[in-house]
Amino acid sequence: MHNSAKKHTLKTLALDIFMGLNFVFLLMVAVWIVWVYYFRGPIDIVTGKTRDSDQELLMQARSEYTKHFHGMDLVVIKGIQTGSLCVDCHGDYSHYKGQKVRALFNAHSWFIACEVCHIKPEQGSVVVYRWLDNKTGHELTTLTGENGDYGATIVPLKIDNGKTSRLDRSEDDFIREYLQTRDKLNDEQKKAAEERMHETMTKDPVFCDQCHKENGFFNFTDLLYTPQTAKYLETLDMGAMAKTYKEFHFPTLFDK
Amino acid sequence: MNSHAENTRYFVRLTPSQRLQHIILVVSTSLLIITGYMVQAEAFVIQSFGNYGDTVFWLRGWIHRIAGATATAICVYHIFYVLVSKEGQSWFIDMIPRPRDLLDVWQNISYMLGFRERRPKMDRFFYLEKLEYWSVWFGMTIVIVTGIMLWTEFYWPEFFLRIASAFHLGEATLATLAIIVGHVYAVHYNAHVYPMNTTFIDGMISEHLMKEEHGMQYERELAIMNGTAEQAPTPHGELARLIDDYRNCITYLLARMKGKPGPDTEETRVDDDA
Amino acid sequence: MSVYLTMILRTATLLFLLPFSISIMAEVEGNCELCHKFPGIGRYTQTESDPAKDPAHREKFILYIDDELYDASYHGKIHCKGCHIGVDKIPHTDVPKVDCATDCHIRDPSVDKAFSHKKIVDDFRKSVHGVDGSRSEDKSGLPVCKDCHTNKTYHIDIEARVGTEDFLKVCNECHQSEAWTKRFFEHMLYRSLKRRTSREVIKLCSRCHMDAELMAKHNLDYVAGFKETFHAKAISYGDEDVANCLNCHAPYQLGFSPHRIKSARDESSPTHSENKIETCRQAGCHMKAQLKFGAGSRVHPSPGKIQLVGRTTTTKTTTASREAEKKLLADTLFEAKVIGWIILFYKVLIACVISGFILHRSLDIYAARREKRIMRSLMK
Repeated sequence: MHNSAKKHTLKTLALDIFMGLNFVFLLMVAVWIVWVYYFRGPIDIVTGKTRDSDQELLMQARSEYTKHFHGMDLVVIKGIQTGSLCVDCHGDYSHYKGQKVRALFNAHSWFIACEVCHIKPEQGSVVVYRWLDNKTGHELTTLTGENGDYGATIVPLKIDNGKTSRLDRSEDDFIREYLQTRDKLNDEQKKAAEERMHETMTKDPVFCDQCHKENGFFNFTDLLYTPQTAKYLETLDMGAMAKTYKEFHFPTLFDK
Repeated sequence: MNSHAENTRYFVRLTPSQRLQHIILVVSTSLLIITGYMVQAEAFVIQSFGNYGDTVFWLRGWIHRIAGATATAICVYHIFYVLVSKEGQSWFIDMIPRPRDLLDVWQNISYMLGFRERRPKMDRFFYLEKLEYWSVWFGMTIVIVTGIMLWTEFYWPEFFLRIASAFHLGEATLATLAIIVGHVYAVHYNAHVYPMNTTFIDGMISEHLMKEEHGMQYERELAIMNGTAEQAPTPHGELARLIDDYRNCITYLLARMKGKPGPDTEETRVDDDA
Repeated sequence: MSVYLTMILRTATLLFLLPFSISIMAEVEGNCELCHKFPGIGRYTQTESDPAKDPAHREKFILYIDDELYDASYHGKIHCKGCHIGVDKIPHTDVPKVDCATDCHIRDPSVDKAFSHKKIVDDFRKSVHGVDGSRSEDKSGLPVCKDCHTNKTYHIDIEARVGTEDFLKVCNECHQSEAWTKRFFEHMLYRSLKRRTSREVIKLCSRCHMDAELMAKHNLDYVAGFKETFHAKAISYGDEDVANCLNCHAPYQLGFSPHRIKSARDESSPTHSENKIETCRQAGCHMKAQLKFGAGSRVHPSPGKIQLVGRTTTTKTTTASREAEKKLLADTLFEAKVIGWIILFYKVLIACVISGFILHRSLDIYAARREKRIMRSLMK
C-alpha cells in the first residue's frame, strides 16, 4: 500500500504540521459557528458582549456613562489621595456627620493624613509635620501644583532619639492582617481588633480654627508654603465663618 | 507523499468545464462565508478594525453581493450545462439517486463496522458525493432566493425580510459546517488523498483510487478499454442504466413479496465480493 | 506704517481689556472657588448616616469643579450662580434644583433677549418623556435634562475638522477677541456636526429602555431586540449612516426632535404604523421602500413585548387604538413564533446532518485502521 511506502522526511513533517494547524483552525471555526448559532446569539452594541443577562449589560451601560453634570467623576476617581488604609472601612469621603463641615473636611483628606487631626497628642515626643510624596514617600522640598493637589500628603513624623517614624503607617501591618481575616473573626474579636486599631485615636480631633490662625497647629512656612500663602491660610477665618452658624456638629466618629 | 508511481494509470474524472465551475464556486463561497460571518463577528474582531470599521463594513457588504452574484451566475450556468451539454447530461443522470445507493449505504456501513470483508463496488458517484451535490442544489436555491430578497429589501414587508434572513443564516451555518466536516475532510484529510486530492486541478483520478472508491465504474471502463464490454461502450451517464436499476429494484421487491428471490440485485452483488 | 499703527492699537486695546476681564471674572465667580477648587471636596448622600454601614445611601457627591475644564465647557461663560440659584449661605441647604428653563445672563443675539432653554424645556414636558406628555402613572422616574445632557468640553481640533486654522485668522480680521472667536467658531462647528455617535446614542437610550424593571414601572416594554437588527450590526462596526434610535423615533429630517419625541401609539409619531413608511423613506435611507416595507409589526421586538400581549394599557387610549395595539402585539407574537420555528428547524437539521457526517467519518477512520492492522498481520 502507498501508505507504508511513505518516507518520513523533513518535508513530510513540515506538511503534517501545516495540515495539522489547518485542521485545528478549521475545527475552531466550526466550533465557533456552532456556538454562534446555537448558544451565543447576536452581539450587543452597548457593551460588545452577548446574551442572557440584560440586567448585567444594563449595569455596564450605566457605569460607563458619566453621572456628574460637569463631568468631574471623570477627573476625581477617589476623593482621597493619601493611600490611607482608613479608607477601606470609612470610605474615601469619610466625614459624614455635620452638614456644615463634612465636605470641607473631606477636601482636606485629599492631602492631609487622617492621623494629623485624629491622633492623640503624645507626651514627651516630638512630632513634626512634613509633605511626603504619595508614591515615593520622600520629603518634598518644593510644592508644585495647586489647591492641595501636590501629589503629596502632610504626614505626622515622630522624632525619637534622632529616629523619625511615620505615625500614619504605624498600624498598617495590623490593619492589613485584620482586613484579610475580617470575615473569619467573631464579633468579640472584631471589636477587640477595632479597639486596638483606634487606640491612638482621639475623640477630640483638631478643628478648623486650631490651624487657621496665627501660631496655630501648623507652621505653614515650614510646610513649604510661600509667605503670602502662609499668611492667607493663617488669616483665613474659616473657623469663624463656620461658627457664625448656630449649631456646629463635631464629628463623633468614635462615640459609642 | 502520494501514490503517483511510474506505472500508475489515470482516469478522467472532471472535465475542464466542471473544474472551472468548481473553482469559481470555491472562491465565491469562501468569500461569502467570510464576509457573511463578519456580520456575526465577535466584538474584539470588530474593534480590531478601529476607525476603519465603517469602510470594512461597506466593503464587506459589496464583496458579499458580488460573490453572491457570481455564485448565482455559476449556478444558473450549471442548470444550462446539465440541460444542454452532453457531459452535463451524463453528469446529471449519474447524480440522480437510485435504489442501488441504499444498498451501498447498507453495505458500506456493514463494511466499516467490520461485518463485510470488502467495500461495496460503487458507481461513478457514491452516496455521500450525491448528498453533497444535491445539498448544493437545495442550499443554493434557499440562499439565492433569500439573498435576492434581502438585496431588494424595499419590495418586501419587514416580516418577510426577517424570515429571509433567518433562512439565510440557517442555511449558511448548515452549508459552512457541511463543507468543513464533510467536504474538506473528504478531499484533504482522508487517508487516501492526504494532503490534497488534486482531481479538482488536473481532473484525473489514479487507478488505485478508482478501484477503491468507484469499483463498479472501474470495472466497466476497464471492460470498455479491453473491448470485452457486452454492449455499446458508454462509460457513464447512461439513462438506460438508471431506468434498469429502478426496474430491477421493483422486480426484486415484487418477487420478494411473492416469496421468491429477485434476479439481479443483492444476491449477485454479494457474490461479487465472495 | 499703518501695520504698526494697527498693531499698537490692538496691543493697546488688549492691554486695556485684560485687567477689565479679570476683574469681571473675579466678581462673577464669587467665592465658590474658595472651597470648590479643592479636588477632595465632596461627600456621600444627604443623610447623616455612615456610608460604610449603610450601602444603600452610598451615592457620591463630587463637589469639586476644575476651573480650566469648566471654562472650556459649553457653559463656561456662565457663572455658577447663574444656574445654582439661591446659594447664599454655608452649608447650601434649601437650594432649589437647577432649572434649565431659567433666563440666562447671556443674551441671545438673534432676538437680543436673555437666553433660555425654556422653549426646549416646555417642548420636553409635552413629549412622551415629559411630565405632561407621559401617560405613565408614576411620574417620579421620568428623565430630566441632566440624564442625557452633561456640560462637556468642546475639545474640537479645528485644524483636523476644517483642514486649516487659517479659518480663525479670517474671523480675527474683524473680531478682536481671539478667545471669543475660537469659542464661537467651536460652537458653530460643534453644532453643525453630529453630536453623538450612533453607539453613544444607543448606550444613552439603553440606560433606561433596557431596564426591564424601570420600564415595567411605567407600563412599557423594554428593548432587547435591537441588537438582532442589521442596523445594530452596522453600528457595531462604526457605520454612522444607518439608523440609530433617534433616526427613527425623532428624525430631524421629518420635523421631529428628541425633545418632542412621541409614543408609537401617538398618531403623529414617526413610529406609528401609519407613518412608519415615511420614516423608512427618509433621504439617505430606504428611499425606494414600497408601502409594504413599512407594514408589519415592530422592527425590534423584545421579550417584554411578547409578555405584554393581553395586558390592558393605560387610561388615555381609545378603544380603537387599544384594539389596534392588541392586534400589533398579537402579530408580533406570531412573527416571533414563525422565526423561532425556522431557527428550531435549522438547529435540528444541522445537528442531524453534522452528527451524521462525523459518525460516518469516524467509522471510515475505524475501518481504515482495521485494514492497516490486517495488512500488517498478513505481511508477517
